[in-house]
Amino acid sequence: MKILKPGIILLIICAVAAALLGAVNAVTEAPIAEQNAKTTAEAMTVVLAGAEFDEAVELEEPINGGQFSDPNFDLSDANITSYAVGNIDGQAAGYAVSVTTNGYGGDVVMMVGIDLDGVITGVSVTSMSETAGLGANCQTEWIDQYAGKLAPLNVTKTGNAGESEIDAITSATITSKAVTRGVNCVYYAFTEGLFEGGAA
Amino acid sequence: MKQNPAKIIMNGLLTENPTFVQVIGMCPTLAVTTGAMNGLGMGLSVTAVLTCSNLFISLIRKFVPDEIRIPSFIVVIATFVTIVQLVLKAYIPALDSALGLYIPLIVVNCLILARAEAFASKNDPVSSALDGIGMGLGFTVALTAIGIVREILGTGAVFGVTILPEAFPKTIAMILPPGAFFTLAALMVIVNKIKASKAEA
Repeated sequence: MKILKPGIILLIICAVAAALLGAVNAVTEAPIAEQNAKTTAEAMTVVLAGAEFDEAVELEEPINGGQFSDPNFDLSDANITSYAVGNIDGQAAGYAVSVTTNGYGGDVVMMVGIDLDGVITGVSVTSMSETAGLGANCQTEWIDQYAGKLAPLNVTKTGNAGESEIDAITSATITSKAVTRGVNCVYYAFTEGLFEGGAA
Repeated sequence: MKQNPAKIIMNGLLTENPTFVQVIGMCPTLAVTTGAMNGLGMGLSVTAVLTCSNLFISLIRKFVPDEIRIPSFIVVIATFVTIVQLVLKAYIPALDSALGLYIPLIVVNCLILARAEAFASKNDPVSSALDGIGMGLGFTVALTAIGIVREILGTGAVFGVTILPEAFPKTIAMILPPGAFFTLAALMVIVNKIKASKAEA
């Protein structure tokens, strides 16, 4: 019987803790979903300016970059998880694609915009845990240089990137390459016609 | 036993500063202090959890038998950590993404379990909450100080605001892992020096 009393007390403590967590979760659930939706919506508008988006297509099986042969990178860590068709003036104009790759400090999640000609219209990193002051600079204006480029892209450290090149972030080549792999993966998925709807 | 509230706070803030004197909770200390803001955010999150868990553990200390002390404490701590995480996610998403993995890790931050064991399970609720505030603030001050030093030397900025001229050389190593050890060591020397000269006087 000696074991019974501590067991019951522990049960009571756990039950109270669970009830408390349930209550807090009920209160914060809606704001969290709202925050996530807001981040995604903002990123979509940034990467494909002026577009109105159809409802996003959530892929059950992510499109893995390993199936594409890229001259510069091994894309097997790139996974496309969802995409949405963007319309300008009622006409399909491109896609906003959510893709994840491995950076220096964990997953780099980004939104990539691509128009129907396969030109990158913009990139926005929505979530990452790269080193502050180095890789974390992928969320600064550095990302703007992707707009208007034609993939497949390569990363250069020379500081004057050519047409299909991206200047690496100083001391954060791994992060720069991670973002670029995501962009290239989106490009191949587009050219292979893996996105449905909107395509001409 | 009743203790002087101011003394309990000062104890955590300086005399037994968790970082510089007790040297506990080193994992988050070294890992998240790449910038002043991260240090402050982590410190305040720990303070919130520590104060709540100390108060609560002190309230239930007579009700919890000795044999299940540790599991009970961990359940209490984990509950408060999860609450902090949910609240941050919902209302301060920027801080949540900056602290990322380290918030769940507060559960196993030995500072919190150490205070539960050493203080809250033996003292009245008010003193325990004060101890949580004092220790938490001591932790916050230490983490923010390390963050400020690393951010200035590594990026020339404090709290994201550039203060050093462009020409000042940036030491990137300071915001990489080794910089955490250098900074911690240097600050520890200073704190111990101050303490030693106080003891002499």
